[in-house]
Amino acid sequence: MRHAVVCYAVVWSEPGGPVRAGRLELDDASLRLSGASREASGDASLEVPYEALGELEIERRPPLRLGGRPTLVLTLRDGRRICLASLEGAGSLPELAERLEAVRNRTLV
Amino acid sequence: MQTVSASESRLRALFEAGLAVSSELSLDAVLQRLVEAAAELTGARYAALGVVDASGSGLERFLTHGVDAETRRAIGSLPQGRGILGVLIREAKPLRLHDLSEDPRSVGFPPGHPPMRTFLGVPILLRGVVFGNLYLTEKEGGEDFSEEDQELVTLLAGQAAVAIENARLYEAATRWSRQLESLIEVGNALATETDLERLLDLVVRRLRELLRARVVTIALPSGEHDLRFAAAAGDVRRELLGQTFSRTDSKSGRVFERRRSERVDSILDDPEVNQEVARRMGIRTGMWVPLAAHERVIGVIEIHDKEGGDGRFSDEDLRLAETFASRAAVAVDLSERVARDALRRVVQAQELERRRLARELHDETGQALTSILLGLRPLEEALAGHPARAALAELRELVVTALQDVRRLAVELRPKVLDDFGLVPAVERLAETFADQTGLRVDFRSTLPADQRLESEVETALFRVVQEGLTNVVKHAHARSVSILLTRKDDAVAAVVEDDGSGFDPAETGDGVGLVGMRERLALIGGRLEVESARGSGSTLVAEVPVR
Repeated sequence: MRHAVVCYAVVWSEPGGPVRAGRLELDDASLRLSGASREASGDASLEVPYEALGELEIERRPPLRLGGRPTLVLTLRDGRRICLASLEGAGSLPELAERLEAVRNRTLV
Repeated sequence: MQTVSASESRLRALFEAGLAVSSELSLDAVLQRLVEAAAELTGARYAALGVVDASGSGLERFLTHGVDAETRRAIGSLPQGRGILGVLIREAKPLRLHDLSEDPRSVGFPPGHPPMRTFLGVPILLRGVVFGNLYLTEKEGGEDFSEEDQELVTLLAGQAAVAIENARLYEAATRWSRQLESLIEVGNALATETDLERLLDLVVRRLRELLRARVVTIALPSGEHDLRFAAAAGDVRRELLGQTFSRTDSKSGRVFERRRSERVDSILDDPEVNQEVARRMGIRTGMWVPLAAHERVIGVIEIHDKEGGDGRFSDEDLRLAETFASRAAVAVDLSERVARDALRRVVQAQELERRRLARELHDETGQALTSILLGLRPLEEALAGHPARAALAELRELVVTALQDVRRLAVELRPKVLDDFGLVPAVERLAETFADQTGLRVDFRSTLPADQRLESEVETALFRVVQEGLTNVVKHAHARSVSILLTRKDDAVAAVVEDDGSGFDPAETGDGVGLVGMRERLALIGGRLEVESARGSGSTLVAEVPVR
């Protein structure tokens, strides 16, 4: 049985790719990103199982900021990187980082 | 001597009958004594007394003398007021017959009924109102009933009428006393209870007891289109509580719109009643009464199936329900006001804290970081060409991004432009920032003057609604562009946020947590929120607030 889904309004990108604005959902098995971009045609969606998560780091330096905001950089086990910036207001990015760290650590046990 | 003795015994019988009326507490006991006295005084073998019910269509009481229990069982059903007995009721005049079976108006006797010839019947009459009849048959010795017999029985029938009227007046007084007690109880609860759930539960329970109804419910508005069962008493309580239903598809919804009580004697025959829901609840009759306070309808009371008889409610029942509804409406309104006041205080405290935090961040933390930046400059000049210069540059970059974050946080918490310059410049700035951060195309337009100032509560509420609305566009809409409009609509100011995204079906999705918060916030200042959307057609959010 799936538990209640937590959602955030976010902007995200993969290095070199378009910046997309949309929704991050965290359910009990994976995170899902879905949204649109003015630059790229069509909606995009991306699902990452928690066991695929590697490093999680909050990045404040300019090259990795999005929309003038610090990002949470997810480095996956296959080496891919995804940068996420939360649009939910003060404190939401550290909160998101804590949630992802918790679910990632559960998969390591 | 024999005649005197007979007269004495008749007087004694009359005296004892009279005593019974004044001393017996039970109406049945009084009427039984009168029936027996009538039989004794006239020498009748059989006597009976029937009391017509309030509807006039049947008997509420039927007492007999001379017919044993076995014979009564054999006869079966009570007289229906046809034949000679019907003549007595209709004509309200005494009737003496030599032979019942020879009278053309007689309809005969049911199987098992003992044969009866001689007959004396008198109506039970008081001030022109017929309460029933008293009749005797088979005078001893086969004689006909006399004029004197008729006078005596008429006297006894008069005493029966007094007894019946007294009993009915006592019953009505007791009923009104109970109703008054309940109204007082509800009134007292009003003065002390602000918990809405407990108040509504009290109203449905007491109303159900007073009206002797099988089911009583209270429905309150839920969103723009539905009602929700907020309280229920009766055998359907658990199933109903919390359930929502459409206003357009229900009797309650119609009564809510029409603002007028209605009584339905047969649920099956009313096309406005949702027959499926009625079947599930097992209801046959009903009354619907709007809850109205300060000329505003805030809910509906439903009452179903009066116990006993055919389940129909009377005009008196409807009046009582309306009286209760007026008390309940005051209670609901008061409870909602208390809750609104509490929410208003919370929102105001929240905004005050945000303003303080924003100021602290901007004036203190921001200033400190700016001072660090200024302090780094002479160090950079002093360390020109030094290997440590790179580390210093990195430090500068860190401080710059920290300063940007602090300023951004301060604006998100409480934009200074909102307090200093008002709604229009604040939303314009918000739109620009949102476009930069998300990459979405944002069109901002205002028909309000740029320097238009509104009450602080109104400006804050509309700004927060636009802010939340934009966040929702990103989260749910998959939109590429969004437009924001601030405009005047008659006596109101409106903020409209429209996107070109995927849309949703409001009937399926209902009010999410964000929308509920916006609605509540706007309701605090007399405003309202409307959401229009359809799958594949984008969404439009309209927040309207009345302004002077």
